[in-house]
Amino acid sequence: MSIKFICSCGKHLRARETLAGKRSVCPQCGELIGVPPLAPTQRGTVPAPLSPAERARATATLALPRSEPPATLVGDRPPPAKRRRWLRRMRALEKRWYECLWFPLYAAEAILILAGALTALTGIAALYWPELPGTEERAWWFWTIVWVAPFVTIGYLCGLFDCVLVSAAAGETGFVRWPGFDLRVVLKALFLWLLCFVAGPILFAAAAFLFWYHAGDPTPLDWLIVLELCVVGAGHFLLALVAVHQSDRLRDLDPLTVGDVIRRLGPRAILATLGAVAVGFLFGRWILHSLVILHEEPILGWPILFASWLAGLAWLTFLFRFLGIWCFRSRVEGEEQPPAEASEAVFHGSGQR
Amino acid sequence: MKRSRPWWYLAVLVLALVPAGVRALTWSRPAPRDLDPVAVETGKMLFTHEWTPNDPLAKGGDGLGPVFNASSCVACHGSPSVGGASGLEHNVTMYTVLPTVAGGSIRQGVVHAAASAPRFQETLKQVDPQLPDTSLPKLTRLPARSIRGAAFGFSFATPATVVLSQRNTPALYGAKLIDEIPDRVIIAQERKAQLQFGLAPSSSQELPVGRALRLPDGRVGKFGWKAQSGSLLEFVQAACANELGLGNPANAQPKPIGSPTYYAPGLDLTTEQCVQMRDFVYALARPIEKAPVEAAERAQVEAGRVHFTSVGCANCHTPNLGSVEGLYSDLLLHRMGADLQGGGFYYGEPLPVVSAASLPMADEWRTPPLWGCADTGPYMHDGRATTLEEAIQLHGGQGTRAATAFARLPPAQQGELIAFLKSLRAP
Repeated sequence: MSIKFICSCGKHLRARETLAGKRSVCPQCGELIGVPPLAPTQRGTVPAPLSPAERARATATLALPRSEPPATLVGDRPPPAKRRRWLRRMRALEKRWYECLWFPLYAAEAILILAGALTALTGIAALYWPELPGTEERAWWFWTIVWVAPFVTIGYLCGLFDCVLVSAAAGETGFVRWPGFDLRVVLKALFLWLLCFVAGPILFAAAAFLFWYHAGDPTPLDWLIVLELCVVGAGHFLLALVAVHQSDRLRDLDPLTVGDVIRRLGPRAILATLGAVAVGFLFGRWILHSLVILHEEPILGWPILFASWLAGLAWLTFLFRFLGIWCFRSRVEGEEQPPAEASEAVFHGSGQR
Repeated sequence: MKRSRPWWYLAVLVLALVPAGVRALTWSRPAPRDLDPVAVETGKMLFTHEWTPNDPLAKGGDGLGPVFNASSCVACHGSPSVGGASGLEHNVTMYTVLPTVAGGSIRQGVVHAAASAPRFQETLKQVDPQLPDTSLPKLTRLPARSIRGAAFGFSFATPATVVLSQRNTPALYGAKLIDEIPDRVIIAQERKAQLQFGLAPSSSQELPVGRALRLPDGRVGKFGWKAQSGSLLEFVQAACANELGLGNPANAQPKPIGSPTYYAPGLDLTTEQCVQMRDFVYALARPIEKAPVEAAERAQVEAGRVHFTSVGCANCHTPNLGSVEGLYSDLLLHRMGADLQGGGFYYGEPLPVVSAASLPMADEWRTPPLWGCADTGPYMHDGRATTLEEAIQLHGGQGTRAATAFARLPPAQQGELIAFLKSLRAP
């Protein structure tokens, strides 16, 4: 028999009897909740005192779940019987990096939909972009679609990864968060990503593109230069995103705060950046190559393009989950460190934990 | 206790900047060369010299021939002035004989118009017995489609395995500026076209996406109808060997089709002489844009310039390339459709390119620069178009869109576009 109770956010919850008196996380609001003892259900059960790690988790300012309008939670709905066992694997927060590899599978619905939308967007753009200049006489709705569709699709892309990062950095598990039908979340994510890009990485990205464009056939040395610029740009972008989400303040886009994130994450920051660049290079090239094939053999090109987007999105989802979990763990570990040791580490500026 | 190590960070930063530093030092820039007046004058003498068999200028060689298309450079590059183009009378006939059995090799080359001795004279009959016994067939009698052919009718049938085509002489004005364009500029143009047209491949039969021809040494081809020469010097050396039969250190003179065992006693030209001729071509002035004096006509030309871009001509005939203004070419190979095929390699041997796959296709042509086009007709690779209007209409393949858009323009606007092209004059 299960225990029925209600979270402070109003969500009706059920837990097994064996969990009576223990603590868990509400799948809707992400708050820590105490499972009541074997007693009548009551609203607002007070949990037992929190450990430092739990306190860090509870006070996490990576707060899309709390500060934003509720997003649709894939895991919020009672999963179908077939998937219930599948999702159970996700109940515990990932401890090892390879455990994050499962995450794209949990987010498969969202990734599939996005991969389909991006395939359609890039494929149609590649095939029909050259036709657009001669179509001034088209109706207003045509141009509305032409301008709105890319914004919405790219907004959802940013929204998904934003949710994955924020959710992982808040230590959420058991469900996948994504923007759903809330366009405000999508627009906010798009705006935030754009801002993070313009705040610095755009310089490195532009330099990499212009260098590649004007350098002729690239030699290994040229590729090295492009790679360096991409690493710096991608790293700046990713860590700026983390910095802004940590405080929920746009002013934390400044390089000092980004530097602080690097100090706190240590070599993990470099690893995440290299991973992002590797995924970007590999799947970016696949996608570009798919577009070339699309022009030559559309029947072959569409599936290849879809597969390229799907694989690229899956790896990026993994990467954002991984980065978010690192952020969560680094904060929790920071809270649990003895004060003397912690102050010494900060004093000497190593930040390696 | 851990300490911060600023020196390590500094070392990493310096190390990261090393590749950029090395690249900045090796960055190719246009390198304008000062010309030696003596070399230019000597080059002019060689360029205009009427070569003869056993010519005294060809020390150690056999002089003109044994097979050749003209007896001097200026004979073909002479209209409207030295270094210009020429009419159909100096067209070069090329052949490609496809193998009849699987695994056989392709035979190709030039049927030269003249020979130093009657026994060396090349004819189409030597290429294939079914072809007529002529050395320079008229262009209108070649069995290719749309060479205004319907009106003339084809005079002889060609076996299915033989492809004949001709090449018209291009003008050499402003060749120095083309030679100085860095390869990376041409490759950037290639990338621009690909990005502009949704990453369409250069094999596209519709979208004007060209490609740069990569030579085995990594350079890009700039000269010749198939962009087969990477520099003006190579182009001059190849032309001396193949058009005049003047062997030089870079290119051996061709052997007559009927006398493959012909042995040249020595080289006719030294590298220094070739460089002198190159320097003379360098000294040729660049074409000009001559605006009409009348205000109304000037406005017409300006309107034509706008149509030139809006119609899509400027996609391939790019007005500026790198630092060269008014070139009206991207120097890329473009597929021009089945009607504009020209089989064979210009110099008999397969072009020295990176791989067989990168060889120019029969319908691929380098975009000819339009500067000076008002004075350097006829047009197209074999001179089949006598007027600029006709040249535009004959564009197929990747040029079809522009040709169609031109045909859709009202006659007045078509006239403006042609007026603009006629303002591009030889020096």
